[in-house]
Amino acid sequence: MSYAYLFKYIIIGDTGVGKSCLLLQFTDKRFQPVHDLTIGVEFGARMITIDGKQIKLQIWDTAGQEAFRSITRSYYRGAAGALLVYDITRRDTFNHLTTWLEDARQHSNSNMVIMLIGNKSDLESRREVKKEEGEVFAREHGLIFMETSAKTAANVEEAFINTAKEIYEKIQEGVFDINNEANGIKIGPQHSPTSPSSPSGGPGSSPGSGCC
Amino acid sequence: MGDSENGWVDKNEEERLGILAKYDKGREEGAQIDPWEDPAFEIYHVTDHYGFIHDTRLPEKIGGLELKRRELEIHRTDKWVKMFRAWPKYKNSDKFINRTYKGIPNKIRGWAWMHMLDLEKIKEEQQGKYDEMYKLARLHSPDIRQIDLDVNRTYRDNIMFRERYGVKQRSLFNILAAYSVYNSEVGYCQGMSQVAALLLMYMDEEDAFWGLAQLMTDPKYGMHGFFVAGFPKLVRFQAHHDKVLQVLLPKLKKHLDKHGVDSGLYTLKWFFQCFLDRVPFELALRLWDIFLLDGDKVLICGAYTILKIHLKPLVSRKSMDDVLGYLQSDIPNNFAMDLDKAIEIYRGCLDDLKRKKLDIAGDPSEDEFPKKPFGMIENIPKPVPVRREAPDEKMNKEIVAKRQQRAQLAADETDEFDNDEDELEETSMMDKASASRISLAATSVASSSIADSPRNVQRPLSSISNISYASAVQDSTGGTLERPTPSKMNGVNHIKNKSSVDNQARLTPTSESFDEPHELTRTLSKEGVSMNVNATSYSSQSNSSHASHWSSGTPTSIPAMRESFFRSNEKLHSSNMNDGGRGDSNVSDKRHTSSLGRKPVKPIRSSKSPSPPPPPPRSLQPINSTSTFISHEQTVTSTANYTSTSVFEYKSTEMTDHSAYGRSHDSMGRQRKEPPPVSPRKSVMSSISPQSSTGRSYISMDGSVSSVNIPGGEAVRIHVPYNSEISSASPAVQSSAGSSSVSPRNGLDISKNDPNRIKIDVSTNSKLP
Repeated sequence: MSYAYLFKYIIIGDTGVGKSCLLLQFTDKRFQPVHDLTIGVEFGARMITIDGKQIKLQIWDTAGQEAFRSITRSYYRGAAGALLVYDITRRDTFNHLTTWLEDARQHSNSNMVIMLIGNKSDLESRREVKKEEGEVFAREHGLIFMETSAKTAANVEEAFINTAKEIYEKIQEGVFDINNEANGIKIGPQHSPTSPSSPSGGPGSSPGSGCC
Repeated sequence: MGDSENGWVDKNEEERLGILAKYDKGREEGAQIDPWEDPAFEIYHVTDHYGFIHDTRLPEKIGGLELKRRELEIHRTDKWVKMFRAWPKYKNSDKFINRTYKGIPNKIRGWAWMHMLDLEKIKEEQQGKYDEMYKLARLHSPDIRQIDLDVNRTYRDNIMFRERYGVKQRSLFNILAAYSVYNSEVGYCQGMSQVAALLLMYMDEEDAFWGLAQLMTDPKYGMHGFFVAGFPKLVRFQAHHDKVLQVLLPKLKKHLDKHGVDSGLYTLKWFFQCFLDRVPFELALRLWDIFLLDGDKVLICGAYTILKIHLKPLVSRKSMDDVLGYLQSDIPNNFAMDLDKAIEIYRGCLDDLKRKKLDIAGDPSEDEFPKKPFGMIENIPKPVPVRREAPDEKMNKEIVAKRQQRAQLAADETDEFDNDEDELEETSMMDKASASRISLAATSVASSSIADSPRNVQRPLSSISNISYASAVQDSTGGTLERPTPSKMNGVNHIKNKSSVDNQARLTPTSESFDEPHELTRTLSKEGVSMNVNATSYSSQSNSSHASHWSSGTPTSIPAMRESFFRSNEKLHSSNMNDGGRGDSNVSDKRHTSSLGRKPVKPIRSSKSPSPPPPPPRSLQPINSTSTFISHEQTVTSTANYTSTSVFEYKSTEMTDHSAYGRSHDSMGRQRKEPPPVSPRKSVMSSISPQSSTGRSYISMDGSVSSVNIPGGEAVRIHVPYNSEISSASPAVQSSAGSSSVSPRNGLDISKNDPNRIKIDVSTNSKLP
């Protein structure tokens, strides 16, 4: 399938906050109450439409356990967006956000769009982190914020799509250099860009080949 | 009596009639049939041969091919049973190897794996160890939270692990927790839960624990290298896998490179879990059969085989997403090849690799092997019992004075030690080393005597956090510390609450023995001065003096202790080792700080040491070890609520140990190997104990009795007054009195039989013979 742009995402956050479930809900529109644990990285993809343009999201879902950081770090590079997830029913996952954020900022390109996600919003009775706290944290650190539920699918689409919109806007503003793949953005093989910079990397000479 | 008997008979009769009624009624309407008793019970129809539950009903009738396969399996099962009857004969035979490649019949699999992992032998060697580790884990495993999270999502689609907190889930939790303290370098790492769960499908809990231990540390499997921090073996195997592709599947390699499919993206689960979850379960089992037979080369060859089998579909997928999607879901869900055929191709691939000398992924690096002894806790994450408010200064002093008085009285009674005790207080053991003193492996007990004069300082009892044991051997003639050398060692540090009053009755009640090897030099070289190594030289006499002081002290929390340790380390670097007085003041300072109840400082691990060590006055190693040891002692100083029992054991090289310790370069061999000899170890051993091959020391610091067993040593008895005021004041006492039962059998029984045993008894009165 052809696309105008391809955005690379990375999903990070403490273990057990629901990273893989968010991805599954987004890509397959289903919820698995007990998801297999992620070791290293797993991969998912979905097409979305923004501003009438097909955009492919290529999503890297990472293991949350500390030990795997050395592996997952290498996926920050070349990511245009990051979903930083915590679990609203576990305060410690919120407390670790600063560490995650530092890690992400240190290993990614400076323009990476980060979406802060408080997941498991369906478990209101077990809530340990107020929504306002998430909002404050996001504001202080310049992140977009949303509470989601991978179980009920609440805000899941929005979380992924709003991140993409932000990236898309940055492209329009010329913040992102779309010819530099390290930014986590690629131009689709058949896409003739409207932006002034001509894509030297995507000649589209072989139609149908979703070459990355 | 007669009434209750009648009641029982009545109940039986009632039950009998009930059963008869049910059969009389048959399946008529209203018949009470439990759902699980009925053939319509859905779980019967969706659960496969291996216990996996599927979303849809499985075919009720099996096809001709499957029928044939099952018949063959029954036939093979008989053959395997016969083979096991004469196991020693078949152990390394071609017949056994061929049959393994053909697939071990599922009913036999558990049995066969246990043989291949040599679990019977280990279990015998390590009797009681598993229980011990499990109990230790309950108190101190830092990974409980993560393990809980992961048990909850490991093979939940299998009937065995389906129920939350069901039998197998509990076993899984138990073995992972136990392993996390047994092998503290790895702890618990994600990926281990699947491996452990697989073993649990075929074995019971304790067997699976030792199975996991074997897989991790036997060089043949060496999974330790995969799961340990930095994943050194993963790096090596991925690099080798790339090389294999380059040579044998260059076209595919080019294709994957072109689409950015790095081997790091798909080999992780292949290598970490030997293909579990990444090929159909049945094929994974077949590969596991070969894994247990041949060791880790199955990973290299398996990876090559899978890619070779799926070469065409992979090359036809023209994007990263498609290629990864294929590897991630198509291969496990639709392997599209008969298993026997796949294994046949595997064998062909193995020949290819051998021909190209690519079947083995190079030499393992040092990092892939365990460096620390097993079965000890070093960085205790949280204080288990309660921290009480520290008594006020005045009261403190009174208590201390009282205690000192009693200690003095007791010490006076024990004439054998009078002189030396004083001596010890004033001099550093570095200077005092003499032939009559016995060098011993570092223990927490030993540590107390060095730094400070016990009379002026409270010596609160026991508890050691953050320690490992190592042996530093004091040369019996020269009086200098030898460089700590690799020695096979064991140790545990068990912390529990003090059980108050009748301490006297409990003689080293919580001794725990450890049968794990350790190479100190490596640890030292890596860790530098670190709390992980508490090497010390040990004077038997010193016991009396500080043992007496352990019975007193201020309760302090472990985090505070940690902090005090941290600080003391810093100070010690700049203080003279021989300056006992200054050591004293340091200690008091520290205790002071620690009782303020500061926030826990992160457990120290070498590099973050606050200040660089000064040039050592003598040789580096002894200083290192001693200073660590002193610092450690500070740690001891600050707790009173704990009782700790440390057991330390070392053995000479001829003793065999199951653990894959040390380096073995012929790791691919089929035959089980004895641990490779480490020569420096031998020399050390001989200096400790020329006559005996094994020595153990059991040091219980519960304020009641200490028993120290020193090879080639002499008997030492110490009488120490026991201050029941303090100990019973501890709120934690009652709560954990039960834990005193923690495997006393391990250490004690053995030590009783040891001719070289030295016993140090510390009791409330002086009635020792």
